[in-house]
Amino acid sequence: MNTLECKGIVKKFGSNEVLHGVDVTLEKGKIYGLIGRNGAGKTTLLSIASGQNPATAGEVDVDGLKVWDNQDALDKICFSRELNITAGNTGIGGLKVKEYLKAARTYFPGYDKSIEERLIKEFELDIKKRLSKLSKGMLSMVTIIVALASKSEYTFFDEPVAGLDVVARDTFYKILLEEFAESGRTFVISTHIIEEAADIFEEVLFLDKGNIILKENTQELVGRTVHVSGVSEEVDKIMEGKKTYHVETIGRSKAATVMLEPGEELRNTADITVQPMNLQQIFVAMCGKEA
Amino acid sequence: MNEFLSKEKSIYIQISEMIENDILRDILLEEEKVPSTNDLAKMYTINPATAAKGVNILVDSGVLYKKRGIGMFVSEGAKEMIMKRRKAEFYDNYVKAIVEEAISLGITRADLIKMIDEAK
Amino acid sequence: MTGFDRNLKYWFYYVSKSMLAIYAMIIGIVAVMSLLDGSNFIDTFTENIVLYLTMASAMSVIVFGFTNITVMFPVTVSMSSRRRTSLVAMNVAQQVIGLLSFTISFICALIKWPVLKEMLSLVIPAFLGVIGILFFLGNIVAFLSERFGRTVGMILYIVFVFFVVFLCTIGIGIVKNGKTFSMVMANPQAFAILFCAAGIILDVLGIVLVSAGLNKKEIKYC
Repeated sequence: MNTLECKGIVKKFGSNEVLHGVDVTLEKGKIYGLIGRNGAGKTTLLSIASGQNPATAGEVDVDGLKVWDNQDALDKICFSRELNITAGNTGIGGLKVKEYLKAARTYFPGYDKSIEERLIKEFELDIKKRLSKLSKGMLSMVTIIVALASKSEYTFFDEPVAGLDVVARDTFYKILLEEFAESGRTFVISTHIIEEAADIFEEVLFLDKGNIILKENTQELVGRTVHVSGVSEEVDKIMEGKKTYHVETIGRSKAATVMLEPGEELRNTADITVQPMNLQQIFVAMCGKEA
Repeated sequence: MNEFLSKEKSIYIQISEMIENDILRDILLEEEKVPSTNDLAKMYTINPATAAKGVNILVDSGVLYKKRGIGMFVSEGAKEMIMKRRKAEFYDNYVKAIVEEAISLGITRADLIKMIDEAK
Repeated sequence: MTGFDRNLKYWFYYVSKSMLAIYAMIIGIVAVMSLLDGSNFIDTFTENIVLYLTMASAMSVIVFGFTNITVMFPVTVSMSSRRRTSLVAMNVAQQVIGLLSFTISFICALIKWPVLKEMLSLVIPAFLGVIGILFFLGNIVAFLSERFGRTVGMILYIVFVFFVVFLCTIGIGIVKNGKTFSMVMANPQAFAILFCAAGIILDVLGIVLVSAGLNKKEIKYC
């Protein structure tokens, strides 16, 4: 087993269908990036995959166990949500950080207090503060602490670096890799800040308008996707039979994002320029407005 | 090591090239231990699997060898191996491109050779 | 069920804390009132202790109904707890602590009005019946708050309370003027036990409503 499988996940809110039958299998022991635009359905998918909210149709299994309503399966998963506290002291905002962490300690069977303590120090977080008094960045720190300290086999992060300054973000990636190296836990990180985190994802999933349109090893994807531009006829010849995105024609020249076969190589010629693309550029080409 | 990663080339290729550069610069000597994949991942903030891929290129080419349970080491004669290979790649990586560019600019063979002589 | 103990542990901790906060609030209000009208705080407090404790206990039932399910319950689910387990443990903690609080109040009442000791067989079932109904109401509030949000829940609850008070007044009117009254007075023991049973059944219904009715609900987090 050793997988988390989403089979045919459909999610409707009223008459609005947000996920259209998502099928995806995650193998244990990898760091995945779940990339998508705002509103693509990342949070919805993760909350269903972690068994916290029900799907309209479809099933999620982890290591062969059904996730929904099953504590044995739920024990393997941690989905540390983005905390968006806008109200005053009413509601969850009234909780102090240390009370929130105490709840986490009680609920996650494998919770590691030493990780919690280390991260509190590393992030310089004041745990006596109430959640409503924290900045967005500090709220992110709280969810990061819970997720990493939970020691859950499958750990999902939803926009973990929202509000963190660039140095704090770098700290997060480094600590994440350390924990991954030590424990081999499976991590899924949803983000729309792509390029920064691209190097830490072993595989990426693109979620576009309620569908997973791509799941691939990051390095391989980046290696085989190129930007080809130059004389239109030459570019057309290259595009033949290949997956292409974001084709632009300006006068006698043409440009396109082209996906090569693994191992295939394309060189510059007099008529065309072949350039490598980074993950962010690939995502925009595939899921942007003019895809 | 200590170079930044660029966005121009695959990360794992850059990792292997950086280790090779260090071998050529005598920063890493033959029979010395090379940083582990986890160390490399931490150093460059990349996924360990990517670091491993880069290291494996060098193991496959014989530049590094694995000592079970201990780590990766620089092979004897690695420096010469690397030089030899890079000389062979010189043609593909640099010369071919120069010739193609020269042709598209209408530079003759004689002019090109003249330029090479002047280039010191 | 797996995960029940951790839920019990947390909910007991959380509910006890809230209960103590309610006590503190009542003590605070009484203290302020004593200060204002110049009376002695200790005397006032012990004089009306039954009233205060009962108020605190009853208030807690309703407060728990509003807040525990809208605030803490989503947090427990976000920490990978199974919903049903959390809801049941929440109710257990609320009702055990609530019952404890009411019991203390009851014991104080017994001390204050020893005459009650002679009617224990009547008073205890009636007491349990009332508490059962209160818990039922608390769960109705919880269900409504979760479904419709706290504001709507509160409004619906007030409407509900007025409706219940209305029914009770009519009920008492009927009972006072009719055969039912003599029937009840002739066999108060049976009536008390019936009332107790009704309270317990409603209580269980309330728990089922909350545990099952909210099982598939989409939880929106803050």
